[in-house]
Amino acid sequence: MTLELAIRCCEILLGFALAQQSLEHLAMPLTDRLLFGARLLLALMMVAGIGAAAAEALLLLTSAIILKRCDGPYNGGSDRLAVLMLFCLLLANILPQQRWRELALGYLAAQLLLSYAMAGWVKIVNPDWRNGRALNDVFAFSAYPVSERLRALAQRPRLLFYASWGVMLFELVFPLSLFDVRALYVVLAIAALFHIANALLFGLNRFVWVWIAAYPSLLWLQGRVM
Amino acid sequence: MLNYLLPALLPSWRFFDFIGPSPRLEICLLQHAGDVPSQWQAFRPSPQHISWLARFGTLLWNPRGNEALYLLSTSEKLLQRQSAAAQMEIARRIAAAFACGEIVASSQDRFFQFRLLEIERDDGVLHTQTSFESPVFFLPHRSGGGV
Repeated sequence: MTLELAIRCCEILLGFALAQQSLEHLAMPLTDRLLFGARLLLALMMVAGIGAAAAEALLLLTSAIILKRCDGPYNGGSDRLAVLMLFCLLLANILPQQRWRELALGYLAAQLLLSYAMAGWVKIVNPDWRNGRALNDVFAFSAYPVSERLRALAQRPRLLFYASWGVMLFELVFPLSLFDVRALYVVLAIAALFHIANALLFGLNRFVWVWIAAYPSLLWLQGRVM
Repeated sequence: MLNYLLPALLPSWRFFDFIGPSPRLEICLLQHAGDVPSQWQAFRPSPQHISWLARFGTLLWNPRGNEALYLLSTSEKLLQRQSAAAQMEIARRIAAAFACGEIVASSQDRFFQFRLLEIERDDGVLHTQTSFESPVFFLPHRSGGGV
């Protein structure tokens, strides 16, 4: 995958993700309609490739306004990755030298790798994750399960023990997939299913689209360094 | 502004590293500002069951769920930092739920309060405690407004 193609794919996918988020905001009663209407338009400009760099700069600016208004992200890690993507894509578009443009997209790909590896590391050093109790607590009393019936999964400790180890090992070995393009495709497909499962169980739908939007940067990096 | 952007540009990626006490938001309607709140009810309680079709639908459309996640993180800020802004933000969103008719109050109700419960595991047993009780807020009229 060429640098230009990776940038374009990231822009299209992130544009759709941000348009979807903006439409969700516009459907809610307390929304700043001017702000999210503008973001919807800018996101669609990214998708269409019309003034992409300007759209990214303005989306970054409006993201900062939202972060300030909400005293942090509205939707946790998905908002943070979206901001990081806008920043890296903007630099990849405006920097004059190919080397610097590659560095910008490479930073995004490296952070994507770290997002899985670090999430796996902080879990595996915690004994509650190693014995399955942390995941049990997520279902037993956290506010995340989308329905009360899902809390019954807390009564299945053996399943949650294996699920915990499955998640931790997958997140930790994720960076190794960079060594082989076929392995990378398989791991990215599993990662996408993992995000979809989190959306179905915990309502974290925005993570699905924002994380998938960053995958082309990793496919490009794999071809660039291997 | 940089304070808000830096954590995104240099993220820590510590997802679910520790499962701490989990907040729950409850509201109570009052006829007079000085009434002692007694009839607490969960604010937007989770449904008992959601069909798989509806769950797949939330992949594309989940504004209420995302607002619930935002209210969760705002509640955590209120508990951790005693943030006045977080308190007002929660009250504003509860008031909006009344104003748009999502929650219906009786004609005698003029005020509301909210509180945050925290559920946590201690020695293998789940405990619930009240960690925050808000001041009294005016109940907005059905047609609009806020606190």
